[in-house]
Amino acid sequence: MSHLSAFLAAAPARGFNLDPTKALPYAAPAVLVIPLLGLLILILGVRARRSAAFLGLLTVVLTLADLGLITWARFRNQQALRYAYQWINTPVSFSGDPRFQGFGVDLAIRIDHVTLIAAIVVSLIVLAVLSWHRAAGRGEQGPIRYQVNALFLLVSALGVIVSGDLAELAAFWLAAGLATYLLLSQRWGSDVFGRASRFGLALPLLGDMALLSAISLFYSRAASLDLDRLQTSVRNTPGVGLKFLSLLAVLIVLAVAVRAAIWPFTAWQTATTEQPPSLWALVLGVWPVLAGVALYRWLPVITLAGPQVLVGLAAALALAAILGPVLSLLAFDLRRAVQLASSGAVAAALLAMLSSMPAQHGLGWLAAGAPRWVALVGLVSLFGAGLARAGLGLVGGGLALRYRSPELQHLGAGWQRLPGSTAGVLLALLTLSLAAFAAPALQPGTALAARVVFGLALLLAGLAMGRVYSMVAHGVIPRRRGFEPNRVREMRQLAVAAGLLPAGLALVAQGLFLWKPWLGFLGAGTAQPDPARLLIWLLPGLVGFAVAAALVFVRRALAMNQLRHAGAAYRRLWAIARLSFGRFFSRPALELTRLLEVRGLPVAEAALGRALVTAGLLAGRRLSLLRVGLALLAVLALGFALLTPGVRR
Amino acid sequence: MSLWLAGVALPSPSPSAQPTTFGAGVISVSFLLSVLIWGPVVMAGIIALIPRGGRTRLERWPLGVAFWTMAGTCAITLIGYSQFQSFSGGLQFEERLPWLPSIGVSYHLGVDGISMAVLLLNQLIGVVAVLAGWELRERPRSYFALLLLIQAAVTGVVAAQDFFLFFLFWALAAVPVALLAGGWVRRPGASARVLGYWAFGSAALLVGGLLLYRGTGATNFDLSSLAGIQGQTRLQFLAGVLFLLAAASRLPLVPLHGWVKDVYRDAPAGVAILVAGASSRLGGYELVRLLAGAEHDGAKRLAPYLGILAALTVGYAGLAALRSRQVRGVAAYLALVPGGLTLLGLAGLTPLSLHGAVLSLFAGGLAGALIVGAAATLTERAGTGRVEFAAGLAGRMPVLAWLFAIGALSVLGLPFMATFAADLMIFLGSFGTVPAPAFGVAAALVLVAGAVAWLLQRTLFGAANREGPEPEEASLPEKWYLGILVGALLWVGLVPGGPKLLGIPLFDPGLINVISPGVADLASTYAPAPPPTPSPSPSASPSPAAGQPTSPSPSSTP
Repeated sequence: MSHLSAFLAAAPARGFNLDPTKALPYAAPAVLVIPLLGLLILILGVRARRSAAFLGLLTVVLTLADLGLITWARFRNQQALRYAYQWINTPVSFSGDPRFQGFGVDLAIRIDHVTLIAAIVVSLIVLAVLSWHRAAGRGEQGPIRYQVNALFLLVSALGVIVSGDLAELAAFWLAAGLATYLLLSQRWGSDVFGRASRFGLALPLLGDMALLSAISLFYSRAASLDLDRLQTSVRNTPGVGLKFLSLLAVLIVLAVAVRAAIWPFTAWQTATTEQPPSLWALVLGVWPVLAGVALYRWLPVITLAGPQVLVGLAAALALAAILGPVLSLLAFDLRRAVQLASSGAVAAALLAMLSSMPAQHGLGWLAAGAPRWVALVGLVSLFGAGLARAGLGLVGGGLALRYRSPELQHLGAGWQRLPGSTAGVLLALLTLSLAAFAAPALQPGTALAARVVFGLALLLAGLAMGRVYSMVAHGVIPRRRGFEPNRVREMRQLAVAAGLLPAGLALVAQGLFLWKPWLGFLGAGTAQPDPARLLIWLLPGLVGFAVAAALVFVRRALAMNQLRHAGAAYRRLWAIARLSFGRFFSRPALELTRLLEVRGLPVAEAALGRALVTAGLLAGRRLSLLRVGLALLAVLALGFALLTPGVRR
Repeated sequence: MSLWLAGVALPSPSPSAQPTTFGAGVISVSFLLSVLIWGPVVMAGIIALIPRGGRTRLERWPLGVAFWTMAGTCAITLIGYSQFQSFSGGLQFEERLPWLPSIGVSYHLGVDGISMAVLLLNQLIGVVAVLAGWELRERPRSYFALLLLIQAAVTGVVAAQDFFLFFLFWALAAVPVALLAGGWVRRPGASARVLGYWAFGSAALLVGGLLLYRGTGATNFDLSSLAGIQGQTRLQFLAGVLFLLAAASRLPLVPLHGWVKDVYRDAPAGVAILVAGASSRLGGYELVRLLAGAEHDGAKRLAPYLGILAALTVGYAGLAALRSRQVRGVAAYLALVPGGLTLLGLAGLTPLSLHGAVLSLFAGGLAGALIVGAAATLTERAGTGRVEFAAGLAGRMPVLAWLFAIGALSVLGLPFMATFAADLMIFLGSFGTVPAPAFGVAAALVLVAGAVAWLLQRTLFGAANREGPEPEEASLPEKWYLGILVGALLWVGLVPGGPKLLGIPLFDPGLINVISPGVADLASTYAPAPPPTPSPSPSASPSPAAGQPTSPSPSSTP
């Protein structure tokens, strides 16, 4: 209340002279409160589709306005703004280590420039997706449920981004996972969609449990849940060794990789491509941002891990960055191809973040000096990738609807038939082809092996993206039964704009690395990019894109046929792996359970029962009636004796 | 009855809780716990005396009497809870009468924070269980009378501060459950199975308690006296194993879970709810009191085994749920998960994990009751219990579908529900001491998530089975009882420390504040030792990175 009165008292009597810094005590918590209120109103009071859509959009716009106000207030201030509200605060022990005598979890809101950008990106993705849904998703079932789930994801995602406490991070992370599952199971009444949604809960929970385990492991040693003091806490805790830190690093990277859906954890997103475009795009766009933010927050601890482990993790990410696009080349469903190709871009950005470790750790992305800077490049590239993926999800879903098929070979003539959507595809694919190109460009001391890996990843990403683009944009739409190519028309303007907005912003986000003030805003200090070096690192992605486009443009049928054979072989391999898993793991485990339930327990119970009955019968035979009567009397007497003292008193 | 009258007549030798908040002065006499125990017993007798009504007005009388009895005891407990002196250790609402002085047995009742949490859970679950039997028409007199007896026995175990009394109520609780299983479950041998498992557990508990009695050399059976055992590690270990067996038969833990299908899957909803929500929680409560609270060395030696058993239980529950083809069968196995998590908290043996374990007694009870109750209602309303027939229900019974989904997800520790707070404390507390079992439980939860996803997809989100019976939406009493459970889970999850307005606590002192002093008292024995103070050395590096210990304070200290 005192803040409010101070704020009101400070308001000038005449003219508009708003000081945004004075609004911060309200604006900061409002980042979570506004979407939460919108969500509650939606759940409790809205029953009409239009009202729900309007309220959803209004909530996101208000959240964006609030974020704009905070950005204005904190524009020149690099320090993190922090507010904390108590959730749990209790003494747990009266003796022992003083660090473990109390337990507290705060609902902390921590906002700095990176956080602000992440929150704005997520809000923009939700805005684009809700707008698309309003324009093109009218026929979808459960429109109110959709808005509820989308806002739930927005609240949870913003919670992850602004959280300043590890337990709070885990809570919002799990909540975002739950919202994702509810979104992916949005389309009720179909076994195909329902079966796909199962992946949305079980597989990602593996990553969520890894995160929870990492947080628990960290707390068990450091007795701290403060996200800003991770490294300090570790350094001040005696007995923390490389093994512990390495395990921590593995768990965090696992959690991030699963939720970012990079190879080999792509299944929970590729299995759900049949879901409505608006919600698939939302999931596709939001999670890279959240994964990046989580990794960025944990980086101070991860970089302390053992060099071999770090190299191993970096190698795993590099493999994911290479295999994602390669698998995309073998995919023939537009959405699947897009997901796999973009998973490579996301992995490359995560690799760039992880590479911000000291040079002596082996990878040598950095010669010296600015590890934070490279991590920031990777993170902001992930923001771009998130926006681009959301745009692609919307536009790609729209294309599949318009062509009445998601098959790449059924698409074509995009510039003639759907110029707006094709432009969106081009923008988004170009952005993803250039994922995190600035990371190696800005590091003069990059090792050769690392440069080769990164260049290859960019080249392959470009190839995969270029192939998708040329299949959509060029060529002739093949005729199919019951499908008239001449009837393919552009989507409604709002839907096209909703797809174009995130795709365009994504390209801008990648291009901004060339602009020095942007680097300053991110906190890069005096880091200055060398324009020539930047341009060189733009080349692999662009070359790959161009080569693929040219190949498909010239020899479309041949390229598709060759890839189809390879794709079939890959699917066979995958099927064998799945069957082997069933044969050697899941089926034996279930069979063991069945044996115990159906045979083991009943047999044991029956044996015990028979033994007891036999003992009773034997005892009964030996005891005469008189003895039985006496025994009963003794029991009664005992019972009476037990009760008597109480009765007396 | 006579004991209760005696309790009314005699003042308590120890001070009762001083009323400080809402409800001040309403309950300041010393027979609160006796009322909670014997009140339902008396009312069960009254129900038994109601003449058979057939299809007349009398038919609903047992329900009415049971409901108002449960509601009354719940209201009394809530007042007692609001009067409970948080941040004050020791027993409150204490009653003590000598019973068998020659062997040191007394009628000693009392509650600390731990007992208060379980007591509150029991009363809430009691109301819910009666509401779940709203439409029961089959022998209502016996049914509701037996429900009240279960409630009374559970309250007795929770309030007992004398081992003899504890054991009596513990063993007595098996009888009405077995009778209900015998009378209302069609599966052959259900009653014998329940009685067999629970009697086995009771025997183990008795022998363990007597071992402890002998080991301490105590002259009475007071739980505080039995807690004073020092040394004799082997005896402690043996007694601990026996207590674990008793708990495993009740909680239940694998492989002593054979009765689960009879009660959770086949019994009427009310019975399943009362057992899953309250009676089974006594297993965890017994371990907190008699293992962690009484024999510290034994608990430390048993901790790794407890952890392994926890991982085994959660993993097995996930696998068995994946294999089951009945909605209630899956729910029955899912209801084992909270017990496994409670056990992990006990295995952790750190102050925080023990806090989590006690909170999970409450939260897990609610979650178990919710999933079991929601599955029973869903099965009844869908007209079939087979997963392949009860399909695509979400669109046709949305309210019940959401309640069912929340129940299934709350078992996993849905964020901002009470189970999440409990699970968080358990994991944070146990990873330092039993990392491998903790990892095992975390991995096993992924299996459970697979089972939950499969269940929800098949029954709620998949294609509707148009050839099956036409499902109906839940009735008002069903919505109410499931709503109460969801509301309680949400309430404790969102404001575990109680609601505050401008920093001033409102009507609820906060469950975590209530349990905290009791658990902290118990857990201080297991508190980790402070880090060694560095010896002053001129060559010590000034950099903290060199392993020099400092004493940073936690992010939020109370």
